[in-house]
Amino acid sequence: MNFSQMIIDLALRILPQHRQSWGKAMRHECLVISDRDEALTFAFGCLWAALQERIRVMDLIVRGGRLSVGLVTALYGGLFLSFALNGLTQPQLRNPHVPWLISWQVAMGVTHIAAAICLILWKPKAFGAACIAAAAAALPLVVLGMGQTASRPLAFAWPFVPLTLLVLAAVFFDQFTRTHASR
Amino acid sequence: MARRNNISSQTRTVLSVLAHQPQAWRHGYDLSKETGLKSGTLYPLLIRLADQGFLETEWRHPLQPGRPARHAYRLTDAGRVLAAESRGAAAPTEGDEEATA
Repeated sequence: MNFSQMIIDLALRILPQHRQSWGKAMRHECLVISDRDEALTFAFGCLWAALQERIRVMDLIVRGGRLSVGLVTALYGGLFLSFALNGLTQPQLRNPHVPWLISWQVAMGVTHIAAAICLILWKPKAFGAACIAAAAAALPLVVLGMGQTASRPLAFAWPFVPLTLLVLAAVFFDQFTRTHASR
Repeated sequence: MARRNNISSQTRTVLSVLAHQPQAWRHGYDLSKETGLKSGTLYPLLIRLADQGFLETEWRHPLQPGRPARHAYRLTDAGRVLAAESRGAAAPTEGDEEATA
């Protein structure tokens, strides 16, 4: 087996399953090229074509990634809403900060669910606005909620860690899509 | 269906070559030589055109025994329409260039 055939076979392995017939077409075409250098150039081109097809499949992975991260974020936001609902149904809490705490928990829940929806549907501007709103909601929650009991760094950082991870995931998926945009 | 204003110049070239002899079956290597496009550019184009229904494909066995079958391509009716439209879309640009020369 010559080198160009080895390259074509590699291209066949890279091609997604539903494109295997095209891989066989490339291989058969390479067989009829008598000039060895031309056959090698043709084979490398086919390898590049196979990589492009494989990357197109990865776009589906990006969509799946956005959906997964979005669902986890929506669950996280839902947790805050459930905390707020629990606070509303606890009449023995007499702390004057409680109404504000519940308000900010609702704000955290709503903004995170909004960010999740915008991520899944990929509306970048709306997503950015929702993340800014979530960060704004987190700050008073930290001051009112955890400042008295936890260490300072943890008290400040805890709501921002999931938000940061969410933003980083969104940026990663966007950059990946831009880099491998369809023709 | 592909939007006409989204057709790249490489796609126009492939459509033009295929439309030159619309009934003839063409092979990938021959198209690559005639269009000047490398296989890494040509095959993704052919795949897109086939997916969108502008290209039909067929395995054709050679006349000489012992030679491998080859994948062949030609435009569908929709592909011929697209080729004609893309030629028409490119023509005003060529007219403008002549006017400014």
